[in-house]
Amino acid sequence: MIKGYWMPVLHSHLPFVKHPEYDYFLEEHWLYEAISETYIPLLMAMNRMVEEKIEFRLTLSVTPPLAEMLSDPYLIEQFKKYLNRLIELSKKECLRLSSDRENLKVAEFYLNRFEKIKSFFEGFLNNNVLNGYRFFYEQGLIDIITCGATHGFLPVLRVNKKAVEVQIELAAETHKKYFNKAPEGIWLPECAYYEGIDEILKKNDIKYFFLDSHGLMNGAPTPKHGVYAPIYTINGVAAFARDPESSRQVWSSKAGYPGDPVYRDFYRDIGFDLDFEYIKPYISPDGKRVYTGLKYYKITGDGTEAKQIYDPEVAHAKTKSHAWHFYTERIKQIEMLSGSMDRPPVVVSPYDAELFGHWWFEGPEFLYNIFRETSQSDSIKPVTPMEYLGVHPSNQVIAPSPSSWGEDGYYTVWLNEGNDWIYRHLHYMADTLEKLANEYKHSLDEDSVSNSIKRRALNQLSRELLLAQSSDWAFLVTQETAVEYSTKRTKEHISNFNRLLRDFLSTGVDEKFLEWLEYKNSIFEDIDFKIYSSEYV
Amino acid sequence: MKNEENEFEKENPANHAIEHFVTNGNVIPVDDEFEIPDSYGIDTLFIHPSNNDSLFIYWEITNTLLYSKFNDPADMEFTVKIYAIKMGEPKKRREQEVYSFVVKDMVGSIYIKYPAALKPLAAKMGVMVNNEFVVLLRSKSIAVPSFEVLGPREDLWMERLKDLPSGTLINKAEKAKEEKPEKIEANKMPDVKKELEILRQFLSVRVQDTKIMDTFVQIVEALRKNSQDHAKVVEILRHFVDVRSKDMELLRLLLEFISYLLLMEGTPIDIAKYLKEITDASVGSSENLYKDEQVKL
Repeated sequence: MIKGYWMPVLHSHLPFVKHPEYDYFLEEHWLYEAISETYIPLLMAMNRMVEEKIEFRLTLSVTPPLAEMLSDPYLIEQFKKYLNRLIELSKKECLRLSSDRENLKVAEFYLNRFEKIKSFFEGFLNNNVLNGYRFFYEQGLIDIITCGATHGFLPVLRVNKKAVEVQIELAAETHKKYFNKAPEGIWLPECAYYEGIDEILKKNDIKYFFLDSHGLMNGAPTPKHGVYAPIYTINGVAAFARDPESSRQVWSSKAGYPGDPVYRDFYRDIGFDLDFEYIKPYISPDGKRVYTGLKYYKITGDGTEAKQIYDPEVAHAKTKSHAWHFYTERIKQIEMLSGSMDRPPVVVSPYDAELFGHWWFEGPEFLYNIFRETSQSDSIKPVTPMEYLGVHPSNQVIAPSPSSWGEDGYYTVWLNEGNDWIYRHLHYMADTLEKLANEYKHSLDEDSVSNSIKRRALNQLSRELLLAQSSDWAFLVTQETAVEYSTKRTKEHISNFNRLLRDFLSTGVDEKFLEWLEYKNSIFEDIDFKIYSSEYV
Repeated sequence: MKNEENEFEKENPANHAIEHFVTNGNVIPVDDEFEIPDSYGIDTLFIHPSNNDSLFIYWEITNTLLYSKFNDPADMEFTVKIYAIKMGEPKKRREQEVYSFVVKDMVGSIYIKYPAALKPLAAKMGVMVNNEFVVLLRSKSIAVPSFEVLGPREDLWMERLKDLPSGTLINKAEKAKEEKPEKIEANKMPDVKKELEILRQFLSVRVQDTKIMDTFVQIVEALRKNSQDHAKVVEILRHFVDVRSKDMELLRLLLEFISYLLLMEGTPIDIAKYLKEITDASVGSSENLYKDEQVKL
């Protein structure tokens, strides 16, 4: 008899990074690394489970910027080049290490792995990662949910309600475009909730979202079942809250599985370790050493020195024992909870998807092994939110508390002395665009060259605003990671917006500049600026 | 991006300082430094929690606004006052001052510690003149519906039916008696969407025309500087604005009240009756509606 449910949720997101103006651009590699280390390995694991008839359920967000990048012809071509370079480097490594048996085994492992990834990408995925997501989505094995259009941090944007509405409406439209149906759920950017957002979700027919634990536990009234059953907001949208225990087992650097000494070390990479002349063709063209993806050591212990050689087979075996541990802990947790609940509890475990494979190399294998356990279990079943709501449609009504999954649980990560300068601009840009959209929503309808340029300019103003709103820039500034790039990107979109606006209102739009922005900042090709007007349907 | 103590997330800071331009001739030179304005020449005041115990406030105040209010605004000090918004209180008592501070810059920002930062708040910025606070700017208040602040009843449960677009509220105690949840049929549900929409539209129209009347008042007041004959007109318009303000407040409360009623078990109050009166009122005069609502509430 089923005693409870497990709801794994993976949030897949990267900010829109596309730089056709450079031959090589480091931040574009975020995408290529995520594809080769996370998205494809996860899809390969799903495919394997289907072949082995292992029952699984996953709820996966694919954010609109990620979907746009995964479908961008330029970025797809760049990814193919990246993958080919990895294969070339692996072959070179097999030659270099031909007399070093222990290291050669790892090099051969990589060569084999990259070739499998390439074959899966060109074959099963037909050169587009989204094909894989669509395949499992259509079979009902995964539920793909959306996110904010550009992962805008909605609580601080809400001063202009339209700005939030567009983030949600455009996200739903983009989801339909790529997945052929409307999203039923959403991962709120940064899991950030504020009172009233549920009304906008309801308007877009979104049926559920996720909260961090305290967002529900600090709600009013206190939820009867804690975080182990969904609730409805006053507007009838369901909310599922994060289970802290299962999260900690994976996230925590101290107590979490990914820190086990047998797993692959993330930091030791031949991009930093090998002779400069040898590795030069595979690092940044300006000579800056970067990660290549070929890493020969296991975590071993503290620090990065005196590491032992990575053994994929031992690490693989470890994922089985960790999966078993995770599974039995969930069983214990569910048995304990079910004594005090009038229904089977649901344990919600959300993670950043990129944790699996990118940061925790063996993560996809770990997930595969958990599903192997749950598929043979009579006590616990993996479930998607709509499946759970189908079985348990009656839930308590709670007004959740403002919250996020950031460090302090609220908004500080995205609003602090290092990044607060951004919002003055974002608010002005949203107010201005809303005014322009209302002013020009009918007057540019007539077909003429001049109207066409103006429409395109307004559409590009919308793109620049949306790209500036991405919460990633504020986050990275706080994390002191890629600060220069994040600051530059924010300023770039603000600057583009102001230059286009100035031209639009005075001398006329510089067509060459507009064309360039349309090519470079090409997110949401079909966007219509009227989405910012008050009568947009 | 998740932010927790996790060594797996601490990647090396990336630096994209790659100076290689593509050889494609169609690409225009890339401007790698981007200038952005310090201010926008607008009057604005923004307040938002950054944490549960701290608030972030930024402002911009223009000379145009200052010179329209004061003859000599040079070296002026500005007072920022923060108000807690007490939902459900009459308008006059709704805003309660909880914090104030003085600033000198016309463009700036500040963080302040305030223990109830997540509650509904608004800010005003102005100048103290003879111990009177002359308001220059008001922030957009972060509107929080009162039922969100107070929270619904503890025994309020909702059931989602496949063929209904939104949830249906049911009573928990009654439900517990049953082995299987009783599905509420769609045709037994009061279909009040249309009425609510009428009410919303009505409220929206009222908001708009009150704004227009407010503008009239300002125009006539300006004219009044030249002639005292317009005093009566001003008085009438003011009265009109006051009545409309009450109308709007009443309508807002009604909307909230009806939403709340719909969440309760067994519709203990005759919703249909209420809705009919509201629908009738929406085509009647504001005065009738006001009287009617006074009786009801």
